[in-house]
Amino acid sequence: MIRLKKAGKLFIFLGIPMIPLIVFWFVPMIVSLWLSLTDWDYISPTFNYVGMDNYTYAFTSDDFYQALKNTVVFGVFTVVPTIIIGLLLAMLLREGLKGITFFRSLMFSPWITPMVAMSIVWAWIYEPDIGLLNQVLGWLHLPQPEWLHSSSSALWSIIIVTVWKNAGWAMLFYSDALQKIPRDLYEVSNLEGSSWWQKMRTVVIPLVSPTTLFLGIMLAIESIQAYDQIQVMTQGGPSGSTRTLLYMYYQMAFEQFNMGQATAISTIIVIITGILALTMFYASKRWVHY
Amino acid sequence: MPKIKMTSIKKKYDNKGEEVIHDFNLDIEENEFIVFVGPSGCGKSTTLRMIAGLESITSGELWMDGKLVNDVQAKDRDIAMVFQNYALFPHYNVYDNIAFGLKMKKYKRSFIKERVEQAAEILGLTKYLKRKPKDLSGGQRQRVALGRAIVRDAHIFLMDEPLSNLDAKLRIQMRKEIINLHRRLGTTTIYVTHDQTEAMTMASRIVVLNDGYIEQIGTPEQVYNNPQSKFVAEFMGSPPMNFLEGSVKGNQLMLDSGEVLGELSQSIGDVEKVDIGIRSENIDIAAHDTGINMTVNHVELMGADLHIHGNADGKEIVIRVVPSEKVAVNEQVSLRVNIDMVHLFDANTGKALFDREKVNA
Amino acid sequence: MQNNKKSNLKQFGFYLLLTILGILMVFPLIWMLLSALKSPGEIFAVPLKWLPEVAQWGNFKEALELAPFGLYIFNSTFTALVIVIFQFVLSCMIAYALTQMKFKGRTLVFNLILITYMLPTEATYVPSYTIVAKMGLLDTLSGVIISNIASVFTIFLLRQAFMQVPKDTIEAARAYGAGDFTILWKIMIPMSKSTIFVVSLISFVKMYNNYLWPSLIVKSEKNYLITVGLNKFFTSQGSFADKWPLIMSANVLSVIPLLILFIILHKWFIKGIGDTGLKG
Ligand SMILES: Nc1ncnc2c1ncn2[C@@H]1O[C@H](COP(=O)(O)OP(=O)(O)O)[C@@H](O)[C@H]1O
Ligand SMILES: [Mg+2]
Repeated sequence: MIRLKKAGKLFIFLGIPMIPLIVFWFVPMIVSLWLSLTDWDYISPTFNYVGMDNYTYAFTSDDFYQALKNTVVFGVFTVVPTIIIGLLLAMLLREGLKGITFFRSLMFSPWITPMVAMSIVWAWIYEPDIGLLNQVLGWLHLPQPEWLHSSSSALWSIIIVTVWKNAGWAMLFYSDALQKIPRDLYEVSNLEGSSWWQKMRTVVIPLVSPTTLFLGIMLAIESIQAYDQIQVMTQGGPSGSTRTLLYMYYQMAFEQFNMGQATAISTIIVIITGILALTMFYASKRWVHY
Repeated sequence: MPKIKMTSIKKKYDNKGEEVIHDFNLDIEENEFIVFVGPSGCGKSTTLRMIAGLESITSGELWMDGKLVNDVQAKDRDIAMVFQNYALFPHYNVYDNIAFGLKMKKYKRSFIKERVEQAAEILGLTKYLKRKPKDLSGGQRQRVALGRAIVRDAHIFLMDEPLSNLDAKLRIQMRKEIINLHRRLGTTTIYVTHDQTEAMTMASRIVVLNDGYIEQIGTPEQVYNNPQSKFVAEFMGSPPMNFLEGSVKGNQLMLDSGEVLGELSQSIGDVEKVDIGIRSENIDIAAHDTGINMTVNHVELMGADLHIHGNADGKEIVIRVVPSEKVAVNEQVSLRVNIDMVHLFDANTGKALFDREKVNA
Repeated sequence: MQNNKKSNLKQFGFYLLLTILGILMVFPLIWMLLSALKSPGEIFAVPLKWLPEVAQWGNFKEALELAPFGLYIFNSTFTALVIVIFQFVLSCMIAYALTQMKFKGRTLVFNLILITYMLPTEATYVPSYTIVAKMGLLDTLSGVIISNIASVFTIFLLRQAFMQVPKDTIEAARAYGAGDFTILWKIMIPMSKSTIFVVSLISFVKMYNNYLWPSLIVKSEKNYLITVGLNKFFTSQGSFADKWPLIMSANVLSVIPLLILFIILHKWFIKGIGDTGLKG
């Protein structure tokens, strides 16, 4: 009787609310894995099992490796600068400063805005001949790259936008972490006459390392999922130079309706994310100080 | 019919291998003020929480008013509980905190108002009804917690170390308030504490617990004067009971050093190893040499009493004498033991070797 | 005296630096607004003109005539709001079960949720798309809503918050006659309200800004979310050089609701995001 009552309650509190999670997360994850073994094209009702063909195809295609490389470059060069800029901003905007909330709000505001809208603005700023950026660079007699129009600079242009949008977000986490560092630790190192860099190395960086780990994982996962800015600014071009794995997946699935190959890519993305999260997690045991 | 009847109650936590309450049996009558006392971790809270319905009962039976309540949910047991950390709702003001239980029962607003104001009056909280718990002192918070309990007209009060977060002075005052409250309302109460003084001063009956076992059940006098185990003898009373080691031969009580303490008034047969418990007030400084000598280590004046700490027979001893007694540190004094007031325990089992009540009766 | 002057100067320099940095960070937003107010001639001027000669407020009107941005914004706000409410209700219940109910497999359920938190949503899109299609919800706002009401992020953070509620307090409520729904509604939720508020705020912003998934679901203009409509407008008008001021006006329109939200609630964002325990 009491068992039954408990089971009923569990059903109401957990069973029912879990349905959307099961339908739109757990089931699709598994189905996606299964689809990656087929040649389904979304339109036709039938499909064949093709074994590992989709994976073999991916691993033997140059496009895949280019996308993989783009993903890695994009990941590393968005995550690292975002973290560094976030930390520096947080250190600049120390607690107790007059107008701190105002300045923090300024730094954070890009995060609030839709990536789609900001990508359009940046596309305009990046315009080679008439855009703001190159005109300013011209005055300063600096080189004026073609930005989004050249395959050598397009990815970097997108990286800049992404870092710009997320740095304020990272800053907020660091602000909180810095605030929790006991004052006397600074004072000890002041007494010892440590330089700024020594203080960073011996006090700040070790003590904010849990935050760094958290941001590292979150930003890395987010960077793998970047889509809006690519879609708006370059659609993966020029000549595939901004096509990441995720964008490739999108094109295969929703432009070419090649569901088998698309889900194979998505499985690879999931595996990469998983490995990344696990590595970071275990690496943390070595150098994160809780 | 007892108010609460507990038979063979056992508790084992899911995440912990061994049993923490073993075979708990207790009958509690209407209007009693029962105190569970014992060292930290002995299972007091666990037992209380089983009675409240907050913790499941692994085996055994719990009866209230003649009804088996093992499977009755906490909210349906009609019990009021007071917690060590007050457990007030921080987002409600004093009024809403006190009214919580009544609101759950969906009483009329006017009725709730009347009850809450009455309770606030009793507890001196009338001025604070609009405040949030964070703006109250510890004592006031505890009064709110008591208020939340008394408005409910619950038929049982459970209190888990309600005073241990308060400072010493406030604790003594709140002790009195709780006792007065009990006199006034007469609600059957179970009170948990690790403080033997609280147990001695508040209880109508004490249940001494150790390691999940009941060591003794009795009135404060019974527990103090007639401890049934060495554990109870040591735990109850302040300063703690003194212990010497010895033996009984032909009704003579002897120390291991060979000194004879005296003749027992009751024959218990020969015992090779006994622990001899003597309360500090049952030892005096003798004017002549008794053969039991103590070196004085230090002397404390505790108001009306003088506590003399020292070493005798290789044991630490505290004796309680009148302040006019003159002793100096490092002095050797002779002790006289009131042989009629000694407690004897089997050195192996810790069980009392005779029951003083029966002796005196 | 000397020292004082020096530190004043240092102070001034510091604030100057902060101001420059702040302006740099928001400059794309400022530039967007300035561009939206320029005439086609001004926007293409070389060398560039910082300010429009006359602010062309008419650009906004013209943009609104070309596409129903008001409707798009309404669609986005409406879906985001409904999604957040659903997420809140469902996540509260799951978090309550995960923290207050004892059952076999509790850790397993939590670990499954935790893993999902790490995985990229996009990996589920192909099957999810098919599921939405099977439900007959393609090209409806309901489709967008239903497929988004499961939020691992919200569950995760609410669980954190619920774990902070002292056990005694919950037990007191229970002992005083509260059932599970009452405890959740009267104790857990009020005691976690700042976390709940910040999490809802973040979810709202994310949902309002969401693009990829809604762009797959909605097809007809009346169902466009602002992000979808904006990008469609950009791709259709972007090839006409003289339409740039209008594109920028549309951009401004899309950002304004969020900026207003942010100006009103910036303290919550600034304080909340760092310390609601967003870090697992
Ligand atoms: N929730 C629990 N899970 C596992 N073991 C517990 C739990 N609560 C208490 N215990 C264990 O049960 C024993 C009795 O604890 P408790 O009843 O809290 O003691 P007391 O209140 O007398 O200090 C202790 O050994 C304690 O570690
Ligand atoms: Mg306890």
